[in-house]
Amino acid sequence: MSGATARSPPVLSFKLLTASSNSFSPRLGIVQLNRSSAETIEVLTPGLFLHTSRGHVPHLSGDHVNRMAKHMPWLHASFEGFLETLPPTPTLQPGPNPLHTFIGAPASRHIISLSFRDPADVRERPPNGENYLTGLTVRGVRKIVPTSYRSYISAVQPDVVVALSDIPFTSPPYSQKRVTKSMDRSIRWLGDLLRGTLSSKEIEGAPVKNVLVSLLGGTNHVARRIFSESLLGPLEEGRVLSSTRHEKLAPLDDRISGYVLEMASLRMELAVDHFLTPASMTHAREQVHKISTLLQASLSPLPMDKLRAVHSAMSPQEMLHLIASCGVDLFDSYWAQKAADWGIALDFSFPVTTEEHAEPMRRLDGRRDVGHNLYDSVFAYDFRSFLGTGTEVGLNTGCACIACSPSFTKPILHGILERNNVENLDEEATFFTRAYVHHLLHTHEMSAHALLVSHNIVVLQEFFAGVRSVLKHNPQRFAAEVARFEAEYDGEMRIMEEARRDWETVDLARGKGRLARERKAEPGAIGPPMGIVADNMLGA
Amino acid sequence: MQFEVIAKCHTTRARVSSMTMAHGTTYLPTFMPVATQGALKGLTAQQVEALGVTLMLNNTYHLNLRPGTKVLDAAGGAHKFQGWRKNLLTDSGGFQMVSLSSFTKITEEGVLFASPFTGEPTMLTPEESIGIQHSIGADIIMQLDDVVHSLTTGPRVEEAMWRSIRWLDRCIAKHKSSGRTDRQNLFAIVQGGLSPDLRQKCLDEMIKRKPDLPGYAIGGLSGGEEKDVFWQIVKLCAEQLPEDRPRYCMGIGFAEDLLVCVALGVDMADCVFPTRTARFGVALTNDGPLNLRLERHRTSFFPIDEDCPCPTCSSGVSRAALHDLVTRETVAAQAITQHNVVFQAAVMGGARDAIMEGRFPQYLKDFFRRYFADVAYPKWCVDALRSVGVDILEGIENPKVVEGKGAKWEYSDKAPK
Ligand SMILES: [Zn+2]
Ligand SMILES: [Zn+2]
Repeated sequence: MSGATARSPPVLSFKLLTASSNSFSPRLGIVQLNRSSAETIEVLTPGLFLHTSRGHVPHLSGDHVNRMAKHMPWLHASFEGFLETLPPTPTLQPGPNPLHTFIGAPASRHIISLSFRDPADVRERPPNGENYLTGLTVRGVRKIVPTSYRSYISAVQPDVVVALSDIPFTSPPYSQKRVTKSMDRSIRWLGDLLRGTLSSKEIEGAPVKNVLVSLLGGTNHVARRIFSESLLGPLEEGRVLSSTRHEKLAPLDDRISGYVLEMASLRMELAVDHFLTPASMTHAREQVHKISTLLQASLSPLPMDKLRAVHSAMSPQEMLHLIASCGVDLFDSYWAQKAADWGIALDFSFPVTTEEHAEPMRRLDGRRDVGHNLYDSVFAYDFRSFLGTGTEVGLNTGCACIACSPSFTKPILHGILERNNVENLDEEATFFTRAYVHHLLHTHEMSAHALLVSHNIVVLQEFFAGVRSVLKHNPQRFAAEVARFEAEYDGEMRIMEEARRDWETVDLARGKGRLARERKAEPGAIGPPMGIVADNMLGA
Repeated sequence: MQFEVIAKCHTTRARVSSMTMAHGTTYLPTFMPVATQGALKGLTAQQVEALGVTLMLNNTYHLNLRPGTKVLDAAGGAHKFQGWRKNLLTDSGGFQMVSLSSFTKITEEGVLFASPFTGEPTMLTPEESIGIQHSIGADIIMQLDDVVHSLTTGPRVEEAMWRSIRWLDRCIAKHKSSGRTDRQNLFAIVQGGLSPDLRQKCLDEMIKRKPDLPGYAIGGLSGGEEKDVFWQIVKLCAEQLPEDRPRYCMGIGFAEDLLVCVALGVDMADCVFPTRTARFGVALTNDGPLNLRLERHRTSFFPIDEDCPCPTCSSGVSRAALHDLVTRETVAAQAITQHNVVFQAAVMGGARDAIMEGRFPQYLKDFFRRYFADVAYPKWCVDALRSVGVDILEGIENPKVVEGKGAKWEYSDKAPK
């Protein structure tokens, strides 16, 4: 374990691969994390990082994560849930790379970024204070002060840290005063994190490295620009609105690795401002347009060459829009994972391909869905792969996921006889069909979601590979390809709402009753009952 | 089916055999995990195979409801449907009908039950049960039997036993006429409740039908009967069932039950317990079950079992990490399920090797000492194993022995006394 002390923190770098005069134009880049001279993890941009729950992509077991490691090099975890018990369990993990070890994601293959809050969780919570943030855990609300956040970070050693931000999660709209106060606090906390010198001396160690900052200012363009300008203010002061340049002092921004836009909270604020319900995607296009102008306001004072990450975009159209209009580099996978939760197998590509495996189903307005709602009874006899390829063994399904390209691994041998008799190791596995997953969804079997989430991640990665390819080889075609994509696929994402309703129906019909029966059938043998949330998630 | 006894224990009635069917060879004794609806609790078929499972179970009752035989026929059977290339066994559907349906009535024709979809009375005959199992296409299929709860007494038990024999004849006739006897192997189920006399009669009748039966199951147990009665019935049946046929004891899953049954001459067993209990955070180990939800596991930064080859333990996932996830994320259920399936397979694989190497009695002693010595040996296990010549208390000073089930369970945070 002596290696643990000698290690220096990994270095995160971001390089733009395309020269551009415009700060908002689409761009190619590469993120690299150097853990040591031998180990570099790369993420090409525009690209994907994975939204997780306590570090885990829901439904994806460890061996599957292993197999899919190259499709999920960057995992994003949030810390608030761990505050349920104090000290938080991951902070007690011994050995090097504690958070990686705790989660079971090898540091040689995964970048892990950490934020305090789950960026997709917009549930209302008590207001933050002058010197604390509130977080939600399954056992209720917890407060965190910046010094604790810092000590947790130094205990678990994530590769990338999102600074604490005072984004309000009380009911919007927020007053001008509230917005100013929130920006002021966030800048102060950011300064503390970057300087590494705090009033409390018990926390040792160098300033936190590889820090990302949430761009604040809510739905007000001016406020957003002011917040960004304050990032250019001096590190030593770190107060908002004091953006008069101190020539000799390094700005905060020098120590910032990149910027984060949290769309979920912004969307909630916009919904109030513009009388849209957050659940409704009807005004998706209008909404993402508003968000892109807000992001532009934030980015305009800032240097061009830093990483731009967006949380909780809700469709490929939104992603394309933000790439095209704001030069966003990195998106999380949240919506694709939600789609997997709700039984949707994604099936779309960029650029839109002309050859189709079968006549695609179109909505009345002529647009296709970005996936298939496998709850739908039309799939009961559909023995094709998720992407609609044929029914023969060994056929290339066009997708590398565990559902479309399953593979056999050498089985564990449990005795001498088995050791002498290993059968058909080289055989190719048959892909899983839409009909099978349709069945699993209706019988509430969680294998459905494992197959779907793996598939959806690969489809989304392929989408970004397509985006990068156009930007690299045909940059002048990019805008036209985006337009073609928008004309082809349903940007309102109606399928999401339909699948969610089907999911709810099956969940209610089967979820709880089944476990109650199991408990009755075998008391004692299965232990005490779990919570209701878990019942629904775990199925039978 | 090709069935061959490879080795026999010199002391107990345990044996090792190979059972080769259309989807490969399974070495016995073995434990079969239950993939009720065509999926083993969050895992894919490839993952289950990677755990070293070569024979698993699907439930006919459930697959008949969903996806139904039409879909299964169109898919080319349950193997293809779920991507499983190893051996598969299906039950007859009768047991689930009786235990899960709100209304069941047994007539000579079959089981009358309320459809869970429409509530309509629906009949499952022996012929239909076999027909459904043909659509599923499992390598081993089970006769429809007249299931009575194992605590039932009186004339109903005898009636059910005789009816099960008559239904067996109908199942045999239906199966033979299907032309599928080369691919699917029909097992009879010995009934007769807790009465040695009725069991004997049932055995006599069913053994007469041996030419049409590639294997036998012992049914009607594991319903809460006294363990003393349980093992004596298993022993009676296993002793008389033909040497050249596999013997399947239905509904057995606790490690101690498995090993006792193996010692009594049982070759196969199934139970939902190891996979079901995993979802509630219980990991099975050689030291007894661990309830990973307990606070005491919160800071245990080491695997469930350092020596376990399962994907969970071998990748170093800690008990603390599982404790953190267990009621929140399905990945914890999957991780513990993988471990538990491997644990069951390892207990049986270890038994096979011990039998082959002539050290099965010692294997039993070692297992029971490690598993129970810190609490107490279940008396029924001691008695059952003594009946086949192994004294697991031999050489133990002042052994603690407990009446009743004696199953070990980590219920609370209290340290074991
Ligand atoms: Zn796929
Ligand atoms: Zn294990």
